[in-house]
Amino acid sequence: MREKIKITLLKNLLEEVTKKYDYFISQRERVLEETYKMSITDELTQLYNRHYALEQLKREVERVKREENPFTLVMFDLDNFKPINDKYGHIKGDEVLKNVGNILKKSFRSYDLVARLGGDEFIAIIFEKEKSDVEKRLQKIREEIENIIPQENLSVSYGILQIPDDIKDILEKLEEDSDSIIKEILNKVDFIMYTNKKKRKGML
Amino acid sequence: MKTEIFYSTKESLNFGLKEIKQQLDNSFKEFDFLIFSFHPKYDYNDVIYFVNRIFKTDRWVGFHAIDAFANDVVVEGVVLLAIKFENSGKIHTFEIEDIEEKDSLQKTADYLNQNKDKLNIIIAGLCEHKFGFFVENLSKLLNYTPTKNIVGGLSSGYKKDGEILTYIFTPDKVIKNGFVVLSFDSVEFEIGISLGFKPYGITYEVKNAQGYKVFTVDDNKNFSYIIQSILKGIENPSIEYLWYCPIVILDDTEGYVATVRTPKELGKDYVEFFGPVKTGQKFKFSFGEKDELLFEDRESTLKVKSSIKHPDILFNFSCIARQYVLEEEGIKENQIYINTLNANLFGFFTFGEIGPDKFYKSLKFYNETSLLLAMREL
Repeated sequence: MREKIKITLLKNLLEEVTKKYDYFISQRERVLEETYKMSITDELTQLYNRHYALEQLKREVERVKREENPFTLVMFDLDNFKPINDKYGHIKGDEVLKNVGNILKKSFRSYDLVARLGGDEFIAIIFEKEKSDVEKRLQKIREEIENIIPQENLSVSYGILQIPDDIKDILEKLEEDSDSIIKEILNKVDFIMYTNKKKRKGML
Repeated sequence: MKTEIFYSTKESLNFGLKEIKQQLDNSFKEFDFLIFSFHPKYDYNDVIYFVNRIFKTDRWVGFHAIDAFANDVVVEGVVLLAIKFENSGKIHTFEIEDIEEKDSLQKTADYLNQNKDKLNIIIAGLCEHKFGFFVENLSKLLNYTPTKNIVGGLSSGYKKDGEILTYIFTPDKVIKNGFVVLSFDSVEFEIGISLGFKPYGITYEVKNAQGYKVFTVDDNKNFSYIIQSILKGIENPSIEYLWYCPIVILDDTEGYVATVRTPKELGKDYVEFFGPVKTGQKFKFSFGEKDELLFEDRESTLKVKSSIKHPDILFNFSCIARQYVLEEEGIKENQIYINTLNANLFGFFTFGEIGPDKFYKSLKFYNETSLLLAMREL
């Protein structure tokens, strides 16, 4: 009699432990997922962060070398953001950055990648072949950003690189050195973006 | 020290005590102290009157026990341990009538601090499930280490006419919500605590506990549901079945053995244990099989033997739930102790055990353990 009870107790305990283990595993997966999400997300804008964006850029450059799968890289830098920060304070500044983040996020498709590099700098990896289509979209983004605080002349400058066409010189020069390739690409797109910014301000 | 254990299972307390007195007179010309255990079936109002009248002494204490040990016999009746010191041994008592009375904790701590050189055996009532907390608080007030000289157990009984009969008796009073301390002077002693329940499975965290009751675990899951699921498929499930699988509290790292808590009652939204469980504590289920429990008893006895070779008397404070799990082999526990240490054994089924932690730094309240005490007069 007691033996039968003990066997049933053990079976039930095992079932409970298994159930609990399943729960434990799902909780652990959820925590891992959340931790991973946190590690690749920019806390303020909820866009991807710099680290993740550069990792993905490296991956896409590797792929483009193998498969000729072209994409467009865009670097954004806000115009007249610093005066807003100085005038209204950091809380307002953060609010503006969040708005910019939302505009960028909804302007691209789910398989494109948008990230905040830091400060008021953003980057996008867009799987769009036609440069004119990209430019149309960027123009719309600029208009929306300019409407965040119309009275403060907030705007955005950007630089565009079509990869691989615009980076053939870099790929030829550096061949397999991925880190240096990424560094050079960033320098190049950054230079294009600043040139555009200066042009817009009438400095060139 | 000369010790002997006598017992009677007569249904009449008067006749039972007279039978024991006759046995006592045949063995002892005189004695220094008597310790009685009484089954709760006897009317507790008669205990003091009959003991005083039949034994004509005020050097005694008694307590309720569902079962008590007279060597390797488990007795549902009256058991008496008679003590006669042969050298400089002495015994004196200290009592607290109500642990909830103001200063009872401090008075006890003061007494124990003053008697740190003696062996102090505590025999307590169930005290409305508050004695576990009393022990924990008492431990904080002790000003010495090692606290190896304080051991004991909680009297066991059952509910009758609205009273839980786990009382302590002295020559002039029935203690219903307190305890007695028996302090032995000029003795050497050793203790062993054995458990034998093996924890397994995944860890639970107590989310809401009050006193001895656990309401919810993990993400506010009703713990009662979990316990009910462990009893499913068993015909006429009884709380005692869960004594095979008590919980083991994990974050209690200082336990002499892991602190086990035995389920006492299954409510709709709570599970009550025989000892404190606190919010935030982590635990696992365990399972105990008689062979494993007896193995630990053997280990514990050998440890005691290495320190005290020829004791005059053994005490076994053995949890009622442990005895349930040991089933028909319960008596083997005592046989192991007696055969290895070659001495008389007195003890009883307890509702909780009191003993030191692993490092003898504090006092603990245990469940499902067997606490063996071996003592010898110096």
